[in-house]
Amino acid sequence: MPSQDDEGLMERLARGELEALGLLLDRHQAAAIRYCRRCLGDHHTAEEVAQEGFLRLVHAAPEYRECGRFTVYLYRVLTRLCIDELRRRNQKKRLAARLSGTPVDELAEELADPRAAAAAPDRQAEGREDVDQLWRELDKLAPDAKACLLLRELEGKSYAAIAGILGCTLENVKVTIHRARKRLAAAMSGEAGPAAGKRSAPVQLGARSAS
Amino acid sequence: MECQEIREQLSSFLDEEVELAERWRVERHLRGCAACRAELSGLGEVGRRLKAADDHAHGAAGGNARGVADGDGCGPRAAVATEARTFREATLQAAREAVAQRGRGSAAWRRAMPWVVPLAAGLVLAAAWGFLGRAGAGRGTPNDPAAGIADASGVRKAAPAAQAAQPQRPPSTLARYAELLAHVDTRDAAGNHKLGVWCEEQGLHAQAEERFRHVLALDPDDYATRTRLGDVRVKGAWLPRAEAVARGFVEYKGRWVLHEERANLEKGLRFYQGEWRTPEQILTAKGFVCDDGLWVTPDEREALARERAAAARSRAETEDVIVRTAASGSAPDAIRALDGVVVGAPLAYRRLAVYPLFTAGDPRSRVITLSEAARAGEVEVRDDAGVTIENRGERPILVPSGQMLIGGDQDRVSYRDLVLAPKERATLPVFCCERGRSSGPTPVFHGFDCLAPLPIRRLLARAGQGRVWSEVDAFLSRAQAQPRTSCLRGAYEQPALATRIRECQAALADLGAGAGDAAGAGEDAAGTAGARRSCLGLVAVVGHQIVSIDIFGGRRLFDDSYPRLLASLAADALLDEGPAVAAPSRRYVRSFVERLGYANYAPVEPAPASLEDALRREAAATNPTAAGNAGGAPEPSAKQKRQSAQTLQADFGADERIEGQALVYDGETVHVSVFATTPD
Repeated sequence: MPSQDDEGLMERLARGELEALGLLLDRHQAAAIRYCRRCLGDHHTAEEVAQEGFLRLVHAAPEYRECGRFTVYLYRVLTRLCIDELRRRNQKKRLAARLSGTPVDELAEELADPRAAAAAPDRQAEGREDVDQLWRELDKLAPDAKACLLLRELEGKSYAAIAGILGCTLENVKVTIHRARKRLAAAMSGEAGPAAGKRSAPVQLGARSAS
Repeated sequence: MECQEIREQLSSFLDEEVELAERWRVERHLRGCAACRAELSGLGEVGRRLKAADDHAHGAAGGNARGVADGDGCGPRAAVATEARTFREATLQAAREAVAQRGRGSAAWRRAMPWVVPLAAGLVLAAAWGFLGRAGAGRGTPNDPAAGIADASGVRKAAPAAQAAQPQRPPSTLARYAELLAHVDTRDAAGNHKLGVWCEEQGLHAQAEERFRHVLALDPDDYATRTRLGDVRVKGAWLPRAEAVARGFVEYKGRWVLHEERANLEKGLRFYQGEWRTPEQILTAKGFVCDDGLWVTPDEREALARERAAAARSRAETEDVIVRTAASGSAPDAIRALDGVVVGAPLAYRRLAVYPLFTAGDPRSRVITLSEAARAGEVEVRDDAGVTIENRGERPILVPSGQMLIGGDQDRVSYRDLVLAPKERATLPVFCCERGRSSGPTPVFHGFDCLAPLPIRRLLARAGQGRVWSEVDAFLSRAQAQPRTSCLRGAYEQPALATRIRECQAALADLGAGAGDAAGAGEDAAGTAGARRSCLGLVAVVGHQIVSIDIFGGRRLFDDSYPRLLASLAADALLDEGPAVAAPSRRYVRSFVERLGYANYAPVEPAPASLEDALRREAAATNPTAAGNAGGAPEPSAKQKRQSAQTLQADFGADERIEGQALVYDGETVHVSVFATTPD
C-alpha cells in the first residue's frame, strides 16, 4: 500500500499517477490560492499562479527528493512565482511612469493593483483608508520582503520554515521581517519621517544564500 | 545602546523566535523601558492590522471575483465550492495535457483554463504592456523552484511528520507552553526534550524547534533530539539527513557511508591503513600467514606444524590443552583465574564455534543468575525512579552485563556485572533499549531470559547510552527487524533469526559433555572430585575470529547462562550468511587466552553510573583529602567491600583490542567476560 502522505503522493506523481495530484489539490489548493491572493492582491492572478505552481509539481516530481516537508516545497514554488509576478508588476509600473510622465507611486499602483482600484469607490464610506494604505505600504516592500512578512503574519510560518521557503538563512529572515515590520509600523503611525509616505530604500532580503 | 540592541530583537521576540536567555534579557529590559515597550506594541500592531486588512481584502476580492456567480443567484459559499471544483478540474486537465505534451511545449495548461487568460490579461492591461509580460512562458525564470531542491537540504525539520501549515494557535496552548517552560530547568536536557515533543504534538513547531536546539546546545550528541530533528550520524558528526544525502552519504547496515564506501563494503572490503583491502590482505598486512585455511602468526604456524607432527604420531586430539598464564603485573586478578583452564573440543554450527573451558574439580558458587532467581520468585525488579532490584532470597544474585530486562516502562539492558547480596535492594546500572511503548508501561520487569546480542554486549563496558542506541539501531537494521518501539528484543523475535537461534541452541546444547571423564556426572558426585572437571565457560569463534570469552565462578552459573550466551552469540554470527569455516585449533584458542595474561592492560575508569557518581569522582580527583572525609564521598558500603568490578581493556596489537569486565564477589571470581574488538 503506497504511502498517502504528501511525500508519498509526490512519489506517485513522479510515476505519472495524476490522481495523486488530485489528492494534493484537495489538501492544499485552498491554502495555495489564499497565499497567492495575499501576495498578489487579486483572486484571478492568484488562481493562475497557484495553478502554475501545481503544474510545476508535476514537472518537478521526478526530481523531488524528500528534502524537507512538502508544504515548505510547495510554498517555495508559489513564493518564487509570486515574487516573479510582483517584479513584473514593478517593471510595468516603472514603464508606465516613464510613458506618462506621472510620478511612480500613485497612478502606477492604482493601475497595477486591481484591489486598490476595486476598493476605491467605497473607501470613504467604509472608512478603510488605513487598510488601503497598509496594502500600499506592503506593496512598496521588495517582493521577497513582502513574502517574508506575509508568511509570518498571515500564514503563521516559523522563521525556520520561512528560511526554507525563501532559500535564505535564518538570520536573513529575522532581519528582513524586523525591517519590514518597522517600516509598516512607521507608515501606520504616520509620524516617522522619511519612511512614512514616500518611497525609501526598499527593504530587501539580505544576501541570498541560494539564488 | 542597550535599547538599540534590544530593538533589533523585538521582532524575533514577538514571534517567539529568540533563545531563552535572550528572551529573558528582552523581558527584563522591557519592564524598565517605556520607549521599547511602545516600539514593541507598534510592531505587534502591524500583524493585527495585516490580519484585519486580510479579512477585509478577502471579502472584497472574493466578492468581486464572484460577480458572475452571484448574478446566477448562488450564495457566496456555493460559489466558492464551485470555483474550487473548477480550479481542481482545470488544473488536473492541464496537468494531463502537460504530461501528454511534455517536451513539445510548455504552455499547454493555459488552454485548459481559457477563462483565466483574458481576465488576467485584462487586469494587467496586457494590451499596453504585453511585450514586457511575455505572457505565461515568461514565468519560467532561472530561479526555477525545481532547481532549488538542493537548496532546501539545509532546512531543518522540526517535525518530520508534522504539517507545516500551522493552524492558528489557540492562546491557551501558548500560555500552557509558557507555564511548562517555567517548570523546566534550562540545564535539564531531558526535560527540554520532553517539552519539545509536547510542543510538536500541540503544533507549536517553532517552540519545539527552539526546545530541541536548546537541548543540542546542552548536549550536541543528544541522540533522541538529533533523531527528532531528522539528523543522522556521519563519520562521528551529526548532519541533517538531507545534507548527508546531498553530500553523497548513504545508509549501509545502519551506518552512513559514502556511495563508494558502500560499494566496497558490499564487496566485503575493509578500510585498513589507507586503502580498501580484502580480509585476507589485511591479515597478510598484519603479518599473519595462512596455514591450511587458518590465519596464524608465523610462530603459531610453527607450533601448528609441531602439533600436526605430534598428531601424526597418533597422540590423541583429546589431549588436554591447558592454558598457562603467569599473568603479568597489569593483568587483573580475575585473569589469573584462567591459569590451568583446559580448552575443550569445539562444537560448531554454521559460522559459530564454541570451545568449552574446563576447570579442575567442581567449583560451586552460592551465586545464582537473575533468571534462576526470577524463576524461584526470589527477586523483584521494578521500574520506579530508575530500575530497582530487590533480592528477597538467601542467595546472592548475579546480574551480568548485557542482561536484558523485559517489561517496565521500557526494556532495559544492564551495563555492568553486579552481584546482589541476600536481602539487598539496589539500583541497577542500565541503558534503555526500547523507544517508548504503545501497549502501556508496567511497573515491574517480567522477562530475564535474554542477553543483549553480542555487538551490544561488547560495547557496554565503556559506551554511553547514545552509542548503545546507535548500535541497537544498526543491529535491528542488520536483522531486518522493525519492531514498533525499536526495542532490542524485537531482533530476537524476528522469525528467521529466532529459528536459527533455536537450531543453533539445539546443535550446541552438549557443550563440554564429552570432554571430562566425570564432566557429565551430577552434583551428587561432588565428594569424589578427583580427576573430574567442570565446564565453566566458553570461547566463541565466528568464522576465523575469536569474538568473546565468558567464564563463570560455578558450574550452575554457567549452565544456566549458557543458552542465553548462545543466543546472544548466534544473533550476531548467524545474521550474516557465510560459508561454514574450519574452526581454529584448540591451541590457537589457547594462545589467545594466554595472551590475556600478558596483555598490557590500560587502567580504565568505567563509565559513571549516574551524575552523582561522576560528580563524586570529580571531587575525589580534585580534592582527595576532602573526598576522603566523612563529608565527601561516602564510606564504601558493605556491598562495595564485598564485590569489586573491573573493566578490562588491553591492546592486542595495532588494530585489535580486548575489552571486558571482571567481577569478584566475596573473594570469588563470579564472572569474567572478554570481547575482541577493533578500535573505532
